Amino acid sequence: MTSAEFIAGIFPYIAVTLCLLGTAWRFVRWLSLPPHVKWTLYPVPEGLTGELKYMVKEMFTFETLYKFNRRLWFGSFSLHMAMVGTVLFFILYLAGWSTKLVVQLCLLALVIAPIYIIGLRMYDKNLRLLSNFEEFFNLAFLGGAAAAGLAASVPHVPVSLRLYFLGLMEFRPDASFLSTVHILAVFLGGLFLMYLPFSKMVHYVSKYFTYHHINWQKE
Amino acid sequence: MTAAYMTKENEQSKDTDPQYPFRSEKILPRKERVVRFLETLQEVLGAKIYNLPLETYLGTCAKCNNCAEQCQVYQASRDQRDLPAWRSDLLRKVYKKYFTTSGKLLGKLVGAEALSEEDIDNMVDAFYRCNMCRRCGVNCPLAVDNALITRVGRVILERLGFVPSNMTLSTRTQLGEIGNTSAIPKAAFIDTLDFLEEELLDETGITIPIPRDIEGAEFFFAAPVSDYIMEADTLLGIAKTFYAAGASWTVSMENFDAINYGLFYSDADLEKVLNRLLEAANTLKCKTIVIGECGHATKVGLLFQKVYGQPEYQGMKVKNIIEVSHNFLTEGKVTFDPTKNPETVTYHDPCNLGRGSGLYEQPRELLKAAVMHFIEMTPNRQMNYCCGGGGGLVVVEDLHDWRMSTAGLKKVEQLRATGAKLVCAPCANCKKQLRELMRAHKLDMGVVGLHDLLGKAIVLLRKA
Repeated sequence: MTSAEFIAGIFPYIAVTLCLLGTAWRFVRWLSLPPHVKWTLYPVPEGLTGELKYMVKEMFTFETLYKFNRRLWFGSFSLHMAMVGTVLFFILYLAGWSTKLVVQLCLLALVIAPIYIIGLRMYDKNLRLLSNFEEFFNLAFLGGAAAAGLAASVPHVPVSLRLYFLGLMEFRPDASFLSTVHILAVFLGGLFLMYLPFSKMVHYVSKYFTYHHINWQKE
Repeated sequence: MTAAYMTKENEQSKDTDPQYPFRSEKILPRKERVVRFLETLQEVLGAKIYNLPLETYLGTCAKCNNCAEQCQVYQASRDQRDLPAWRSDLLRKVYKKYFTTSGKLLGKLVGAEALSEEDIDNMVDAFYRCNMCRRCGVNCPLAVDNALITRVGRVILERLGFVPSNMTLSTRTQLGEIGNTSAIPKAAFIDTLDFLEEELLDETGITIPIPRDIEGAEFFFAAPVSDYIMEADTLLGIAKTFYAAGASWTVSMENFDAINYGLFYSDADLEKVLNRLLEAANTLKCKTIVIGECGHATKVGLLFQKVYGQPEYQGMKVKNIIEVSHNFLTEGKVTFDPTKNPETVTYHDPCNLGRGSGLYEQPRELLKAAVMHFIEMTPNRQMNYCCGGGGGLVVVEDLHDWRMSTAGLKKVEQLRATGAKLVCAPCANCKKQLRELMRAHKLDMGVVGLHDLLGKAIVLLRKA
C-alpha cells in the first residue's frame, strides 16, 4: 500500500474515529468530575425550554460577541457558520441535494474568515497581547485545511469526487483517480479532525458544561 | 509596546520585591514563593471542587476579549492589566505548564509557561484589581467566569502571605474569643441592641423587640457587624418588618456577625467562619438562617454551604432578608405607606445579591411598594456595574484612591445619570463604597439600605 492509498483509504476512518472518541472522552471526563462548588450566575433561564432557547440563539447568532466585540464577531460568526455550512452542504451534496458551488462558497468563507481573524489578532493591541502561538496555529490550520479542500474541489480529474466520498461511506473507497491535491486535502482535513477534540477548540463540548453544569446550576 | 509590568525584564530587580498595592501581614521570602505556589495549586486541584470550572475555564478560553468591554475596571482604566482574560492567563499559563500534558510537552506553543517570582508579583497586582463582580461572565460566549479564576488565584496567594492585612486581622478577630470582625464585646453588643429597641419604642410608640438567643425561632438572623453599629436604620427596618409580619426570629449573642471575608481569599477561613455561623443557628435549633443586607455573606451561605458546611448542618436553609421580607409582602403580612418615602429612589444591584444570588425582582417589588418614585439606573440587573468595592476591596484602605478613581468610576457616572436623590444598596460593603464615592466625586445623593426605606413606610399595628 502506498502512502497515498493509506491517506485516501484508511486515514479518513482513523481521523473520524479519533475525533469521535476524543470528543466522547472529553464529554465523559467532564461529566464524571465530582460535584464542584456551586457557582451559579444569575439569571438562569427558566426550564429546559428556556435553556435551549438561549443556547440555540447564541449558537446561531453569537449575540454575546455581537454586543461587545463587533469586529471579532464578524470573523468568528462567519468562521463558525462556514464550518457548519461546509459540513451540512457537503452532506447534502453527497446526497445529491445540493450543488458543489455551495460547498465551495462555504470553503471559501472558511479560508477567508481565519485570515481575517489572524489579521485582527495581529492588529488589535489587546487581542495581540492575549494571543499566543496556539491561537494563530489553530486558525492557520483550519484555514489551510479549508484551502486544500477548496483546491481539491476544482475538477482535476474527470471523475466526480462524490464517488470517492460515497465509496468511503460505503467502506469501499476507490482512490485510484485522486491527485496529489486531493490526497493533501484529505490528509489535512483528517489531521484537523483528529486535533480538534484535543485542542482548546473543544469548546463545542466545554460550552455545554460551563453553561448547564456551572452557570445554570440550580442545586 | 508592551507595558513594563508585563515583561520579565522590567526595571525591577528579580531579587527584590516591588511595591505591592496593599500591605500584607507576613509574606513568604521571595525565593520560596514559586515552590509554595505550585504546591498550593496542586492542593487546590486535588480538592476537586474546582476541577470542572478550572479545566473548562483554563482549557478552552477563546481569548476573544469580550470580557474587557464588560469590565468596569478596564472601561475606566483602559489598562491592559485590567483585561480579565489577561489576568486569568497569568494562572492559565502556570496551570497548563505543570498540570496538563500538552503544556508539559509543548510549552509556550500551547500558552504554557514556567512560573517565576515576577509572575507572582503580577498576580498580586492583577488579582487585587478585580472586583470579582462576575459582570464579565454574563456575556462570555464560552461562559468562562474570570471571577472564579481570580478567587482561586487569591486563595493561592494567601498561602504565600499575600492578602490585605485588613481582611486577615478581621477574620482572626472573628474566629477568636470575641467572635466578630469589629471586635465588639458582648456587653457592648447587648447595649447596642437595647439602644435600638429604645429607638424603636421612641419612634413608633410600640414595644418592638430584637429577640436574643430564642431557641427554636423560625429565623436565625445575622447581619454584617457594621450594620448593628453604623446602619441602625437598616436594623430598625428589619426589626419592624419581622414584628409586622408576626415572625419568630432571633439574634445570637454568641455569633451575630455574618461577615465572611474568606470568600475573597481563603477556603480554609471561609469554611471556619461559615461553620461557626451554622453552629450558632444549630445550637438555637433554628432551621433557617437569614442573612441581613449583605451580598457576600449571602453568597457564601447559598453557594458554599453544601461544600463546606458540616454534614449535621446540611438541612439548614440560608436566605437573604430581602427574600424573607418579599415573602411577607406577597403573603400580605406587611403593608407599606409609600408617601413616607417621597424622594426619587434608584436601586443598585449588589453583585453578590444579583449575579451571585438571583435577587433581582424581589427588592424592586419591595421598593415599588414602599417608595413614591422609583427609577432604574442603566444598565441594571445582571448588567449592573459593581460599586467598585467588590471582591472585598472596599475594606482595603491601601486601595482607596484606586477604588475612587478607577473601580468606582463607571458607578459614579451611572448614578449621576439617574438624577435620583437616594440610591438604595442593600449591602454593607456597597454602602461603604458608595458613600465614599459620593464624597470623592461630590455627588448630591444619599445612600440607604432597603430596610431603611421599608422601615419608614411600614404600617405597624400594636400587637395584643
